[in-house]
Amino acid sequence: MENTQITKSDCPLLALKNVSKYFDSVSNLTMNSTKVLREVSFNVEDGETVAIVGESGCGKTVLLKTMIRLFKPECGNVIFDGHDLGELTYFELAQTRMRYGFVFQQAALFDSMTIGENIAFPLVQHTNKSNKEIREIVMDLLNEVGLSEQVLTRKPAELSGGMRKRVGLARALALEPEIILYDEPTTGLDPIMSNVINELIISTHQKHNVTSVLVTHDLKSVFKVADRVVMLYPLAKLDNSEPQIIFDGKPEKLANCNDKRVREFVSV
Amino acid sequence: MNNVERPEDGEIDSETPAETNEIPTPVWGVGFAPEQPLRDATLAYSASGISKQLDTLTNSIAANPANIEPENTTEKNTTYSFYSEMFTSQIESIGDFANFCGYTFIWLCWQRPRWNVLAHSFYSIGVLSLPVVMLTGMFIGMVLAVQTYSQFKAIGMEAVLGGVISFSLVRELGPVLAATMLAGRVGSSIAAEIGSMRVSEQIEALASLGTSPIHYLVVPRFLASLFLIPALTVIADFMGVFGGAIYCTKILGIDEHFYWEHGRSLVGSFDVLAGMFKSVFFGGIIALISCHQGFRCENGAEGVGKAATKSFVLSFVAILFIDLILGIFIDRVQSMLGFTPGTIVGA
Repeated sequence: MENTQITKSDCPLLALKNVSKYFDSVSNLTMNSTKVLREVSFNVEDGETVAIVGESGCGKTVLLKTMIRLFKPECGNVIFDGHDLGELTYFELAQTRMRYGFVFQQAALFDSMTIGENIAFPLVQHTNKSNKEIREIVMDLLNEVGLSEQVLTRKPAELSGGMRKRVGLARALALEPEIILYDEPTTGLDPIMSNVINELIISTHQKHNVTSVLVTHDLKSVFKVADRVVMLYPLAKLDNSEPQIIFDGKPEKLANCNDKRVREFVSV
Repeated sequence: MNNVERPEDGEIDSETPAETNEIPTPVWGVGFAPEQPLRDATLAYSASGISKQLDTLTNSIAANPANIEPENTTEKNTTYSFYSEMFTSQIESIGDFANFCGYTFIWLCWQRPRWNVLAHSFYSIGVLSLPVVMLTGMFIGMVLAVQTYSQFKAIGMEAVLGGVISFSLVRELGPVLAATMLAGRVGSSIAAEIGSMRVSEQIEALASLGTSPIHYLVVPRFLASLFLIPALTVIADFMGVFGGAIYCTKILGIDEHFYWEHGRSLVGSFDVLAGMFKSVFFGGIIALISCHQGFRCENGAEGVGKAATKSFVLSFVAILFIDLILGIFIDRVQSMLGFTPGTIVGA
């Protein structure tokens, strides 16, 4: 791990360098490879909120999961706080993942547990806190995401989509992460609940001073929350020489971008 | 076969005959007469200046129609690709299963699961299976009595039934049928539970929280199956012997003394231990196959259903295969040690 150590000031919090991801399938004795990401590179600075946008199937979620190494890239490096995730041992990777928070698209709450047990799960697994301390933290987190104490004993299936996403955020915040990855946080929610989630992303960012990366289709969310926008384009529509990131800049510049594909995405 | 070449290995395209580099896209699908695509192709291409080439081809086919065998070629290719795909997928599954077992054993040795997680698995796999195993065991004993009584009565040896029923239950039927019941009750439930966790990203959520899904989900279930399936087997044996005894003595009227005496003389602790020894392997394989099927689950609700079904079928086949291998092994050990039926180990 020392070999991969780089001085913190030298590098951004999260850096992706030429990340490529293919999905292989074996059929008729031939290996079919579906290319999803090709040499994607960008940095996420400490304290920044970056939105990754793009049309469906362009690899946004795959990119987000590659950032925490839920997907292993075929080539390229994901460097978090100076450590190349690909060079970490399993236990070092598990320790590093605890510095991340991941909010899944469908919340991915453990449905055999109650809401309280879901939020407490990372604390029970990775800390030596007493039950009383854990209960206090869970209550604080629940208040922070705007849910009442009554939901503590309920099962995830009894909650609405918006409530589940808020519980997902509370669970992601339990270990006080340095970076939070949101996978389509407002998808499938009504405009009011989408706004509540956007406000939560902003308040979480301000209160915990965390870096945030969110994958979304929702441009309202992008303009409200993000400091920077990265737009991906599907590989199937690109030539081999064209870069997959077609826009990387401030949200205000999206509408005036020279690239027609970016303007189309924003104007539709 | 002038016009239709067999494709190279791995480059199977049953819809494209060799001539298509000159005349594109006449589709020789299964069940199509060759005239049909040629007629369609003539209509499509006569206006674009290549009708002459097409006429040449039509004439050649008309002169010797036997040269064209699109149906046969397509059938061969389809069969070939089906088997190759099946073979590749089986090899891949075996490799993946071996890898999965390796990781499970590493985690098993590396870190003990938390007591509460372990207790939950022991409860759901052991305690909740108790009624079904007891009931199955008792009915097996009774059915054995019903099936064997008439044969033994015919030769005047119905009193030996105690020995026959107890021996078959303890050595073979108890362990195998208890394991089969548990493959259905426990195995399918494990595969469906882990499968639905996979589909709803809960396994990825575990990993993202720094927890190993194999350590958290597989190891407790594996340990519970390994320790509790032998215990459940002993209970199934006991209930079978009890059920058989009730039926034989109370309904068929066999003398209790002879029933139990024959049972005692034919069944010894070696037989009970042999049955338990087999059930340890059955428990282990049920847990590993079911968890693995859950982890490999794909395609939403359909995938979960398939994982549950497949886990039961594979577990059942594995149970019978292991039973055969261990049956031969135990038989050899018994012969080597010179144990006869009814031997009490250590006596």
